[in-house]
Amino acid sequence: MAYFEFLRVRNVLKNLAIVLVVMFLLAGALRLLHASGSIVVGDDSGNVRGSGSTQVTRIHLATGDTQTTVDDAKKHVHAVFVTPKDHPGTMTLNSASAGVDVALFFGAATIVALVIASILAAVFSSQNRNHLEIAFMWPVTRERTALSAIGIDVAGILASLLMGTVAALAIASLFVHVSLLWLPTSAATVVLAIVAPVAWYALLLAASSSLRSFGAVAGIGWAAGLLLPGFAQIPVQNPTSTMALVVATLRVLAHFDPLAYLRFSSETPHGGIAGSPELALAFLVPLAIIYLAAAVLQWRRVEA
Amino acid sequence: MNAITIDHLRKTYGAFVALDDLTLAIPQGSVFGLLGPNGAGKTTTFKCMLGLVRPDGGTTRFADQTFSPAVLDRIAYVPERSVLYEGMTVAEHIEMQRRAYSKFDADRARELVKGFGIPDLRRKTGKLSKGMRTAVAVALAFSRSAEVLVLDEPTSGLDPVNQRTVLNLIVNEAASGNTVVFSSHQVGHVERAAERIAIMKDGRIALEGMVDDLKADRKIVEGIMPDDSATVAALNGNPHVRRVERNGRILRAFASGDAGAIAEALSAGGAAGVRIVDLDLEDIFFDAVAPASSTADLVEA
Repeated sequence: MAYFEFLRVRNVLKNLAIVLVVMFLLAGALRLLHASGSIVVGDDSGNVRGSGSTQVTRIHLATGDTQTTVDDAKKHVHAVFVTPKDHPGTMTLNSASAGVDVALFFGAATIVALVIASILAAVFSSQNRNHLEIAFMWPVTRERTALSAIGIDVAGILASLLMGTVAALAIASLFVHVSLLWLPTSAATVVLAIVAPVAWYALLLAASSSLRSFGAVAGIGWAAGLLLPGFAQIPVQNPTSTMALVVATLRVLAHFDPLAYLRFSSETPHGGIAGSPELALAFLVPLAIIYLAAAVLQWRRVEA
Repeated sequence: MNAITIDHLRKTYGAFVALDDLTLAIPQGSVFGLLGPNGAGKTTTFKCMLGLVRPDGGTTRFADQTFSPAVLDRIAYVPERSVLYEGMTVAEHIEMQRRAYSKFDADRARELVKGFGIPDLRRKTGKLSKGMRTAVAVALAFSRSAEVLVLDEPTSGLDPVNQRTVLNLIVNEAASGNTVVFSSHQVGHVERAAERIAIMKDGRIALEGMVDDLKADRKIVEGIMPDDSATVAALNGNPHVRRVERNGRILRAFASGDAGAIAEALSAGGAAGVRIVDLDLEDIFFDAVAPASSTADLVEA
């Protein structure tokens, strides 16, 4: 079964690579399209003023054009605009660089990894459908068979996260010069981006490990996983009402939903149900382990 | 020494009793045929033996070992229906087995698959016909150098040429000292390959023994009665008469043991042209799985 799963993961990653390359090419085409014209970002260069940590400097070039440079050390932004002498009312972006939290790219890649995790989580239900006579005939314990398949899937999820991160970085670099920023909370947010798809995979795996079909589990899982954190945030006016009880129940349930812990940037002040990425990890890691254990224990009891 | 010893195996699905106190011993190096109508419990027996389903009671031993995952390295299994991965090629299946089983012979597998008429190993098994998928499963099992082969309907869907190939493989495997247990709906296949059989009915062993012994022990005593309602009282309660069938004036008594005495009883009862007919395995099968007809009812009708 490990070899089967290896081939399946390889095919999934191959298809993902194709999708990401297509997305990069489309983004490249978009960039070229814009490069051939001018991106009008302002109607009057004279209106650009520095404020707070932002500094604006203007110089007149030998060609007669005006170059406006915007610098913000705090926000890690550097942008250069040009106002042509023959179109004084317009301002086009010449070059730009931005400091971007490294966690943002991992956060974007988490979405890719979540999708891949959802595909790979069908591993047990697909065996249950028609292949248990192969899977259960390996001369090793069922736990070992299950864990080897899970190990390959987790490696696949991590690979997809890496591929997604690289693709996000590559696409962003087409438009701006990206300076990666490593903020104090970046490490925890990056780890969260790694753990969340694995926990999501574990949840879907546990929910489907004794079933023969996976589609309904994935569909209901995604719907519930996305809606639950939203419903759990509904403000309640009357704390003694039935609505308050429902929302309180949903808040408790949301703690079991790996999607509720997602944060897409270290700077998001209240991203995720846990508040901080460190707290989210403290919830998510044991949750993932419990879901994986439940999946293995259920699957080993399935009959062919 | 027995390759497989099944002891009081029981399996129920709700109120349905799939296996009812099944006890069976399969000698090492033999070809053992398991026969029975649909739902008799053949596949459940195999699955319980191999730990694919959990029996409610009873045990299975392989040689001197109780069942454990490690034992599976010595056992090859071909299920009744194809369980191959449709998205994988034949070559990938061979590679998967090579990685999983210590004595798997990939060259032999390739040779066998080609021998079954599948030259292109890069074909996905989902694109193969039912018979070809069976052939691939059989080829993989016979490349395992397994001490015990459990084959559930291994000729299902195969053309006559490949059916014969499978039967030859079964006989050759036993000749090299390994044990083959197989089921088939084609009694002729079992008769050709198996030296020992068990016939299952309603989750129990209805009949078991060496094919030659069963044939020697069982006869049909046939006589033409004076009219189509004539009876032979002497057959009633005779322990050697298993069953009596009537077709018009022809009375057929299924005898086990002393067929001569039954023939004499028929003659004494007025039957003309009494003769003793040998049974083939198909007759023995039908005799064993036939509804328990009352000899007394027929004789006294």
